[in-house]
Amino acid sequence: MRPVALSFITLSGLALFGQTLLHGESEPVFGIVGLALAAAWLLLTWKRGKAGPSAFLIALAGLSCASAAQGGGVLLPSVAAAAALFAWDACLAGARLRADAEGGSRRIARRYALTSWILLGIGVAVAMTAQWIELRLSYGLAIGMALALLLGWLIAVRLLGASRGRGDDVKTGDEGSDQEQAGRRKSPGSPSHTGSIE
Amino acid sequence: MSTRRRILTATLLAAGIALFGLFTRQGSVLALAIPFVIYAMALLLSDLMLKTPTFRVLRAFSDPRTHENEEVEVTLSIAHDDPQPVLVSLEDVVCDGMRLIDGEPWIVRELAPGEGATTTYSIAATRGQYEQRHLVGAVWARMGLAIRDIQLRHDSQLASVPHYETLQEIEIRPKRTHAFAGAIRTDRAGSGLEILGCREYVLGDDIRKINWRASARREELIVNLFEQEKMTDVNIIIDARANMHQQIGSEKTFDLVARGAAGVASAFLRQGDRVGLLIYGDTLNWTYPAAGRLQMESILHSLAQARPSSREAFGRLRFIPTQLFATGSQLIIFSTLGSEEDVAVPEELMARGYSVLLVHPDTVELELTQAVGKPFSQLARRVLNLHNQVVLSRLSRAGVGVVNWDLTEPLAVAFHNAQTETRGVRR
Repeated sequence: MRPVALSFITLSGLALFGQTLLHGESEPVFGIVGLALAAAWLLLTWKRGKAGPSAFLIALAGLSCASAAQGGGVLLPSVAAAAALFAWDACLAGARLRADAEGGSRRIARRYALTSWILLGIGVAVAMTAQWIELRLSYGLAIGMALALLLGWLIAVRLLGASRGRGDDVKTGDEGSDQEQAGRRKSPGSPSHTGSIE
Repeated sequence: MSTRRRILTATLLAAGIALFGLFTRQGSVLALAIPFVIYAMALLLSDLMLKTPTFRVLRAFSDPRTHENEEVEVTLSIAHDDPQPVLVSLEDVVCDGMRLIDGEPWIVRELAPGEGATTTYSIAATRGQYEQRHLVGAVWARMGLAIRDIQLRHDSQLASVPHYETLQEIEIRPKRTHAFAGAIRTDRAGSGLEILGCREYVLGDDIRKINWRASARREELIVNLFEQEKMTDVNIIIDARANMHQQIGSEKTFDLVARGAAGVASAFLRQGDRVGLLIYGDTLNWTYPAAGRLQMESILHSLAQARPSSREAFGRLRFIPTQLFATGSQLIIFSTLGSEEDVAVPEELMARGYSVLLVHPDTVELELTQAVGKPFSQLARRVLNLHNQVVLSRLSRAGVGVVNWDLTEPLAVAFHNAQTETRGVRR
C-alpha cells in the first residue's frame, strides 16, 4: 500500500508545481510550498510507512484552492487536491494492512490502487466538465448548491448511521461449541484441561 | 480511522472548498470540491455494500501445557459462511509474555464462498497461564475502498509451567507422619529398609529378620529392627511478597524460586508424600496437600500463575495462615527473610510444633555477576555473607533446617551441601 500512497503524494506535489510553472507567474509560492509539503510527506511515509496526517491533506487541498483561485485552469489543481486525498486515504488503509503479509496484501493493494486511480480520474474529469460547461455562479444558484450539498451530506450521514447502528467496528466470531466451553471450565489442575480446540 | 471518519473528513473538506469557492465566487475553486464529493459518495456506497460475514475461528496449540520458553506451534484457522468472496486481513493478538519465533500470526487473503484459511506459527512463552483471545483485523470491500474493522474472539489457554530440576531424596524429619508407608524415616521400629538397631528375639518375630552374625557373637538369637518409613504432609510456602524479589540481569529471582519449589514438590511427590503449596503474597493461593501426578500438575499450574505482589494484606510473613497446615507437618519455606520480624517466623512455626526447612535464596553471587569491577563489591559480598550466616545459624540453632541456595547454582547442590553439613554436625 505504501507505493500507492507515494505515487499519489508525488502526483499531488508535481501537479501543484506544474500549475505554478504554467500559470503561476503572479504567485509562484503556492507551487514551491506545495512541492516542499509533498516532499516532506513523501519522506515521512517512506520512513515510517504509516504516516497519514490529515494536516498534509488539508494543507495541500488549501494550496490547490489558492492556486485555482489564481486562475489558469482547474485541471492541475483538481489533480493535486484529489491526489492528496487519495494519498491520505492510502496511508490510512496501509496502516490496516500488514506490509509483510505477502500474497494477499498485494492483491488488496492492487485492487485499492485501481479503484483509487479510477475515482481520481472520474473526479478530475467531472471537475473539468464543470469548468467546460462554464456554469455561471449567481447567488441564487450558489445558495441552491450549498443547500443541495448540505442535504446530500445529511442523507449520507443518515444512511451510514442506519447501516451501522452504533459505532463502526464490528465484533463477530465463534465462541466454540458448548462441549468446548465445558472443557475450558475444568479445574486448572486437571491434565485434561487444554483450553484449545483441536 | 474508520470508514465513517474518512467519509466525514472528505465531506468536510468538500464543504470547506465549496464554501471558499462560493465566497470568492470562483467556479474553478468550486470545481475542486467535486473529486472529494465523488470520493465520499463512492466510499459511502462501498461501505453500504460491504457485508461482514460471520467467521468461524479455530486456534489450537500443539501442546496446551508446555514448559517455559519451549516452542509451541499454533494453528489458526478461519472460515466464513458468506455466499460472496471476502477480502480479509486478520492478525492473531499474541499475549504479553509470548514471543513469536517463526511463522505468520496473520491471514491476509481473499476467501472464496465457504472457503477457509489456515496459518501456522510458533511461539515461546515465559512462565505463566495465558489466555489468548482476540484476532483483530478488517474486512475489505471487494474493490478495496471501504474497510470495516473486526475483532474476532476465540479463547485458547496455554499453561507455561516452570522448568524444574530433578532433586535426589531430601532429608526431612517431620514430627507427624501418616499411617501409610512412604519414604520418610520416623525413628520408630517397623517395616522399613534402614536398620534402626537390634534386640533379642521374641516369639513371633519374623525369622528373616534374625541377624545371624550378632546371634553367633552373643550366643542368643538377635533380630534386626528396621526404621518405619511413612508418608507425610509437606507444605511448601513461597514468599511472593514483591519486596523479597528482584530482577538481576535477565533473571527474575521469583522465577528461580518457582522452579526450585517445583523441583522440591516433584521430589516429595515422587517418593509418595502428600505435597501442598501456599503462595503467599497476592491472594491466598493454596493448593491442598495431595499425592500423585495430578497433584504435580496442580502445583505446576499454581506456580505458572504465581506473581510477586505487594498487597498490604500479605505484607508481613508472620500472618501466614498456619491453620491450613496439619499440626506437626513439614513446612518448607522459600524466603529471603527480609526483616528481623521475618527471621522470627520460622522459629515461631517451630514453636507451634511444625518441622521447618528454610530454603534461603541467596542473591549475593547473582548480584555480583552484574557488579563486576565495581568498587567495594567484594566488601559488600563479605558483609552480606556475614549477615546471612548470622541469620541462618541463629535459625539453625533454633532447630530450623536451613538450605542456603546460591542462585547461581542448581538447587540440588544447595541441598547436597546442606545435608553434608548436617551429617558432619551429627558426627
